[in-house]
Amino acid sequence: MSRADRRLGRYIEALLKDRRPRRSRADEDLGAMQLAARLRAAHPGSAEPAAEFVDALARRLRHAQEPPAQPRRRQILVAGVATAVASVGAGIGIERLRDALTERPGQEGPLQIDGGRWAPVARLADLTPGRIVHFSENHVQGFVFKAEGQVRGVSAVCSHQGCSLIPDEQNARLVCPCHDASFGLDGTARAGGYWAGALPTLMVRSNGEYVEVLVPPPAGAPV
Amino acid sequence: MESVPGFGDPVPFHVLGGAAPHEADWETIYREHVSAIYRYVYARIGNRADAEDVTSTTFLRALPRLKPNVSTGEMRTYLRTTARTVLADLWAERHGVATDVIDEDKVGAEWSADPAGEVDVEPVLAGLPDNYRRVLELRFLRGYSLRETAAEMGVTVNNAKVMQLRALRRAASINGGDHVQS
Repeated sequence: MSRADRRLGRYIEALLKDRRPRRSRADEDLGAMQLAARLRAAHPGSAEPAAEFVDALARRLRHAQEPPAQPRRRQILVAGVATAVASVGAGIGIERLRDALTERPGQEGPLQIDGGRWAPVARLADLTPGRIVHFSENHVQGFVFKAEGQVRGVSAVCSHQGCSLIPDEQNARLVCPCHDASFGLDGTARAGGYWAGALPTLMVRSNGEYVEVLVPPPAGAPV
Repeated sequence: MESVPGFGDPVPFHVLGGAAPHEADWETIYREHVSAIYRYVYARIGNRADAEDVTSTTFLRALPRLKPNVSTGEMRTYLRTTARTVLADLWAERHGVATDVIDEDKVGAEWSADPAGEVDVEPVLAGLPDNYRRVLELRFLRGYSLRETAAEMGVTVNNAKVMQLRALRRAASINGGDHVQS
C-alpha cells in the first residue's frame, strides 16, 4: 500500500466513525475525499443535525446577541457580541466591534445586571499597548487587553481540548501549549494543525482605574 | 413549531453598528435554515464533528451581518456562501487544498430548497463495476466495517481495503475528473 493509499484509508475510517479526519495533504485524492464525504452524507440519518446540537447553537447565538441586562434563567459566561463579529473580515469586523463596544454598559454609568456582575480583574494602567493580561475570576479564565483604545477580553481556554492558552504578546495572539493551535485576540482560530472553533469573547469595560469583566455571580447568589 | 424548553418570547435581532433592532424573530430564521445548512455542509465534509463546527461558525458569522427585511431566498444564499467560505478554509487548512480548486459543480449534492432534500448518490455509483459499487454501498451507505464488508463480499479484509480505495478513486474520476491543479 502506498502512502497515499494509507492516507485515503485513514480518511475513510474517520468519516465512517463520524470523526474529524486527520490533517493530511489531499493531492490527487481530493476528488475521492470529496466523494467520500458525499457518500457518507447519503447514509440514512447521517446528514440530519442532532437536536441537542441545534438547541445548543441556538443558545450560543442568543448569548451572542442579547445585551447582558436581560434576565435569563441560565447565566453562564455571556459571550460578547464580538464573538460573532470577530471572524468577519478585519476592517469591517473591527469597525463594528468598536461601534458595538461604544454602546456597551461601561460608557453609560452604573447598570443593573441580572445574573452577572462586573468584577475588576486588572488595573487599566497595566494594559499598555500590546500587553495581554491574564485573569482568573470566579471560575472564568481570560485575557484582557487594549485594542484601538478599547478594553477587550477573550477566553483563555482553548476551544479544541480545553488547554490554558498562553499569550504571545509579540504577535498579538494566544497559543495553545498542547496542540498546533493559535488564536487572534478577537478569538478567531488561526490556520494550524487543528480545527478549533472561535474563542468566546468577554464583556469588558473600564471603570475608573480598573478593568472589569462581566462574570457569573458567585455560586449561591440568586440568578 | 413545537416549543422548546428554555426559550422564551422571540428576541429581536440586534444588528451591530447601532442600527435599529430587527423586527423578525431570529430564532425562527435560524430554525428555518439550520438543517438545510447542516446537510449542505455535511455533504461536503462527511462527518458530524466538522459539520457541527462549520455550521456553528457559519451562523455565528452570518447572523449579525444580516440586513433587515432580507428574503428567505437571500438569507439562504447568504448562509450558503458563508458556509462555503468556512468549508474552503477548512479544506485548505487541513488538506492543503487551494481554495479556488473547490469546485461547486464537481462536489455535487445540489443545494436543495426542500429541507428534506436528500443527497442523491445514484449518479455517483452508476457506471461503476458491480463489485466497486457494492463495496462503496456497504462501507458508506450501510456503515459496514471492513471485516463485515469482506465477509459479505467473500473476499479477504485486505482485498476489501484495497477495493474500497480503487472504487472511490474510480467513482471520483467518473464524476469529475482531476480536481487538482498543479
